[in-house]
Order: sequence, then C-alpha cells, then structure tokens
Amino acid sequence: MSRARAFIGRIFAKIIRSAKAVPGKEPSAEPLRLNEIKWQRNSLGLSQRSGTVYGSYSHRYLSVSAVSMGEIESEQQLEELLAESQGASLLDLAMRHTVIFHEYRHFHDCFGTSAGIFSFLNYVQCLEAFLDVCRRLREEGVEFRFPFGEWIQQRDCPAYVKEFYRQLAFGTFYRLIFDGTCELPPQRGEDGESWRDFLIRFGPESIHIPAFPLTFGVQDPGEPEGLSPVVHWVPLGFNVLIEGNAQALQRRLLVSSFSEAADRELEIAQTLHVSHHPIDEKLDHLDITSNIVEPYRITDLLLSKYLRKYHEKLEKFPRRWITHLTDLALMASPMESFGEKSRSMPPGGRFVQMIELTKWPDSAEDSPQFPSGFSRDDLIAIRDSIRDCGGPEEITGQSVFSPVEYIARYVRQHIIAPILDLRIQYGNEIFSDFDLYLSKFSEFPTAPMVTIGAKTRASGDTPPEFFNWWTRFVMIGEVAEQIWSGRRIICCPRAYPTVEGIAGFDFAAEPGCETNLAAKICGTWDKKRTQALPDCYFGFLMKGLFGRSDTPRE
Amino acid sequence: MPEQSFFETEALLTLLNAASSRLGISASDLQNITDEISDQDATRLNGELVEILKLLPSTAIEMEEELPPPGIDQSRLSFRIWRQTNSDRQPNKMLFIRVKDAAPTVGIGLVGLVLALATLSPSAITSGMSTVKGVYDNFVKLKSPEDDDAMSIYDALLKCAATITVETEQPSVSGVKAAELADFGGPSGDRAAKALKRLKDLSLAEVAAWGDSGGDLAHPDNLWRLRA
Repeated sequence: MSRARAFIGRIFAKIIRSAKAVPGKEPSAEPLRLNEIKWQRNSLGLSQRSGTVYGSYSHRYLSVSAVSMGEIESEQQLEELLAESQGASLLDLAMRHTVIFHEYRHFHDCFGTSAGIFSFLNYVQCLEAFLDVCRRLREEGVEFRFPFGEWIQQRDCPAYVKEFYRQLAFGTFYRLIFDGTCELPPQRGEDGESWRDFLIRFGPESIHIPAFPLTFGVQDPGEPEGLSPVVHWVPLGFNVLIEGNAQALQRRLLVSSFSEAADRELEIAQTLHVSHHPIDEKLDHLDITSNIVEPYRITDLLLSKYLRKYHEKLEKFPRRWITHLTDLALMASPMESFGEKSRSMPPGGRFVQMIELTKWPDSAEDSPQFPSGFSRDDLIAIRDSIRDCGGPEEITGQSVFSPVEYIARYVRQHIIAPILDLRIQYGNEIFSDFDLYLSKFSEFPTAPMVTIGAKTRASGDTPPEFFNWWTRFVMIGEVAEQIWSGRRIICCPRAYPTVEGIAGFDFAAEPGCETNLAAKICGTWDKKRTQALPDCYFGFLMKGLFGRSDTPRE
Repeated sequence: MPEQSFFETEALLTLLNAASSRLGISASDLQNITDEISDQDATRLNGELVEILKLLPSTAIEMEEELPPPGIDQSRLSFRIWRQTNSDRQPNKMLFIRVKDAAPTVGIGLVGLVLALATLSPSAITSGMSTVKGVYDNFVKLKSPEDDDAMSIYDALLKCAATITVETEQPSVSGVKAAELADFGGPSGDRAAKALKRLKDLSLAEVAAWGDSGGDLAHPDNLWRLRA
C-alpha cells in the first residue's frame, strides 16, 4: 500500500516539475479553531437544503443513506409524482429523487481516488495501531487509564502509548486540514481574492491550506437596502471537493430528469447568502452566518471567481472543467500512512495548484490544457498494489482485530480495485465526464450499506457475513473515537447511535439490545462499573480491550 | 436492585424504569405513560429528580462531569432537552450519575412516577421543585418495618394509577377504594385503613371522595388517590 502511495507521489512530483508554476502568494498565518465545521462532522457529508436533510454518506463506514430513491423515466411519471406531492416544491421533489446519486458519487470519489482511498486506509491503520496498543497493554498487565489524554501526560504511561497518542494527535490535526474541516476566522468586509493560502501551525509542524472567501450579506433592518458584507473563509479540503462533484452531478440530473427550472431554483437557494437576523450588539453575526455556510458550490464559485479575475473571457465554462480539476486534485493527494510524516500536499492545495498549472484558453469553446493525470500503466500498478492482500473470506478469527482486517480487505478487493479497473478500462474521464460516468454507473461496485428512509438494506452482491463484520467494525471505530476524544464513560454505539443503520442491528444475545436498553441495564461502560453488561458485543469489546467488562474495581 | 448508572438527561427514564420494575409495570406500559408526558414536563421533572439525587449522601451516589453521549436519538425522551454545545461552541458537559445504593433511588423513582402520572392530568399540574422535594421529603419519612404497610399501599396506589392510565389513556384522578388496592399488592382491612391514614398524614395520599358525609378516614367507600 505504501508502495502505491510513494508511486503516486513520484508521478505527481514529475507532473508538477514539468509544468510551469505560477508564483504562490504569501500565506497568511492564522490561528486554527480546532472545532470542526458543523456540516462536516466526522466526515459525514450531509446533503441538505434549507434545513432539510436529504441524504448522507459515511466514508469510514461505507454507508450511503437517502430519504428516498427513485428514478424518473418519463415525463408522465414526473407529472404523476408532482401531482402526488400535493403542493411540495418542484425542487424538493427533484432533490428527493436525485439525492441517491449525490451520495453514491461520494462513495465513488471516496474509493476511486487516491485521496479517498488512502484516507480510508489511514483510518484503518490508525484503528489497528490502537488495537495493538491495547493488546500490548493487556499482555504486559498494564491498566489502560481514562481519560486517555491525561494518562499520556503521566510519567508511568508506557512510551509506546505516548508515541501512539502523538501520532494520533498529529493525524487528527492533519485530517482536519486534509478534509478541510478546520475553522478559519471570519472577517468583516469583502475580499477580492479567489482564495487565500493559510498557514496552520500544530506544535513544530505547519501545513498550508487554501480557503475560499465566501461572502455573506448581513441585513440591517434600519437600512433595508444595505447589506454589510461578512467573509467566511471556507477551507478547501477533501470534503468541499467531493461535495462539488456530487453537487455538479445532481444538478446535471436535475436538468436531465426534471427541468432547468429545478436546477436554477437550487442554484438560487444556494447562492442566497444573506442573514436576516436583526443586527443586535449582543449577537455575533460572524457566528450566525457561519451556520449557513454550505460546501456544495465552493469549487464552482472559486473557479468562476478565478476565471473572472484572470481570464475574463471565460465567463461561462463547462461543468466538466471543474470535475476534471477536482479529479486531478483528488488523484494527486494521497494521505500518508498512519504515523508517517506528511509529505504530500492535501487535496485543497492540489486543487488550486491544478488551476494554476492549467493553460486556460481564450474562449470557453476551446479546451484548457490541464496537467496530465495518471496513465493506464500507473493505474494498473496502483490497482495491483491495492489487491496485494488476502481475500476477506480468509478472516475467520474472533479477535478484536478481525473485523478491522476483514473490512480493510473487503474494501481493497471488492470496492477500490473494481473502481480502479473502471478507470483503467474507460480512462480517468469516467470520473469527470458525467455522460460517460452515468453510462457506466451500473458497473461500479454498490455501497455495501444503504439506508433508504429508515430502512437499512444490503446491496445485492454483498455477502451475508459482511454485516456481522461491519457492525463490529463500526462498534470498534466508534468506541475508539470516544476513547481518543478523552471520555471516561464509554457509550455503546448501539445505545447512542451515530451511524446510519446501526440501530437496526442486534449486538446482544436474547432478549436483545432493544429490551436491554429499554430496561436501562446497559448503554455505558467505565472502569467503576459494577453491574455486568449483558452478553453482547459491546461487553465483549470492553473485555477484549481493557481486560474486563463486569468486575468491580479493587 | 443492581447499580444504576446514567447521564443526567436520562435520570427520569432510568428512575421510572427502576420504579416500574419494583411495581411490576411492564416496559411497554411505562413507554405508553412516558410517551404522554409533554417535553416541558419531562424536562422539568428530569431536572428536579437530578436535584433530589444530588442531595443523596456520597455513600449512595457518585457524580462526575463527562462529555455528553456521542449520539442523539431524537426518539428518546432523555434527549429532548440537551444542547450539545454552549455559546462558545465548546461541548457542554453533563453529569454522569452512578447510584450505588438502590433504596433511595427507587424512592425517587416512585415519587417521579407519581409526578409523571400527575403531569398527565390537566387539573393536577405540579409546580416546580418544591413539589418534588416536598413529596420526596415526606416519602423518606416512611421507615421499615413500622411503615411497611404504608409503603406497600403507596406502591399499590401507584400501580393502580398507572394501570388506569394505560388502560383508559386518561390519568386517574377519581381514586380507588381501599379494598381494591389489595388486588395491587396492598394490605387489606384495618391494616389498609391505617396505612392510608399514615400516607394522608404525610401528605402522600388524599381522599378524592368521601364514602359518607366526610371525615371518616376508615370508611370502606372512601376513594383514595396519590397526592402530588
């Protein structure tokens, strides 16, 4: 796997060297607000509009969810649907019927590009490293202490635990930049730049991240005609890039399956950046407007602003220019292995780099000369490296490591490699040319976990045992996250569900999770707990990680 | 009764579960009752029960601050009320409560159930912390073994009220005769009359309708109900 990553790094170093670089701007060193942006918590992309959530995607858990799913096959069917919707807006109806494609596009971008592939594998490595720390502690008879962040500051905490925590802390910081989920300080007034480069420091390390100045108008009731501008710097990261792709696809479908009007309505809804909160000294308008920042059109707005500024004849341009640049950026920004020092540029940096390296034409009818992408041979080499592991069916153990290993192998063999095969067969354009993408849509692997409405279902070709492993994988991941975040009390992810679909699974022997939870006999674990947990996977995991689930503290 | 541990937003549900378990009220019946409690009443009752828990000695209860649970299940009563972040957008912390000694907790749960049922009646809306604290202060005056019958008939009144509420989907305000309480595990005859008088003295029960012209607490036709 690291071979493939190094390979990608070499290829892009070559591409970048061969291209004429545009002088970079001086970066602004800005303090990072280490709270993630609300709409991108835990890498869960939410598709929403005016407070209505239509769907979501979880990269870590290979899970797609949508409020509904349907395809419009004829004008008559559309008319019938509109009649049935009884006054619901056309856009609402259109969003409901196209959102599944939006979420599926995330799935394909996440497992079909270097950025997404190695981001997932980095997460798996992080989980494995943590489980290994827990195993070693058990073997050495050392008690794991909570909260984790306080324990590592104590002298008697083993060095390998401290080292894991150091890697985790840097990895978490790097992921904020990679995903673009850090929060940059907003400012009053406008900004004419297409983007600004921010330098974010973390201890002795520092990373650059470009950000787009999204301008909001804050309405002053005393001056109905006047709007005071407020700029929110939206970090360009993995999330904004894949949201841009998914949004572009959804808008393409709105036009082809519904109407130009539906697409226009969506565009207007997402361009209306006005806060109607009355101006009041007690309210911080920077914070109020930050809550309405949406990620969907950032790449579109950025490229439009850039071209308006530097290539004014390209006022309108084809959508595929953005998807092409996005795919180049996502393919050129693999995340390093967990614990390795970051050397490659994160996706946001790559995106603006690709814009600057492109030779733009004088008219939108001509084609830009984009930097080169991966060749067929390059892709074959990456695909072979990804396939270089055993099959998931070989995993039969019952240790806490088994679910993580199973899911990693399943993803590599049955999701990533087949998507790379499509790139190899049809060319990289399959990710940027929507006509080609949609014509081959059915050849892409299906997401193993799909939730439509409140119902989670298996996709057709997923083996039945996958779900046993998946539920355990989710349990391990969510428990680890809690420990890393400094909790003393560990909450059962089935009792406090954060992952779409998990509430439909039973982790306990008879009478089952629902009955146990209703009787309030389980739900949390901590070192002081004296009440035995039921016979369930959460109890098994706590025992496996920390040596016991039900014995009282001495 | 085993140890109970829960987040402060879950106090009402956990304590009602403990009380229901003691009274033999089924989980589905309890669910029906809690479904009927308004968000506002649930929030208030939950907060008041937490305040009562804080009064318990450290030998019976431990509390520590913790980050709120990671997920929010909107369908659960306990999370109707919690804000995840404060005005600085830092995560709000909440209390994690561990009750070691079950007896006072069940007592709080019983009082909670009385008040939960009372909130379902438009004519018996409770008013604030003083009510919960007042009822609980009187309840803990019941001592074993001398008040065993009073405790038993309190349970019976509560179980009867819960049963009527579930069966009729209406809160019970009319009261029941002492003899009927035997069916719900209460004592009978003179022992029932004495137990009810004890509850009345402690303002835990009252006569909803007199069996005669009034004043005879031992009259078999008196209709009794819990006082909240």
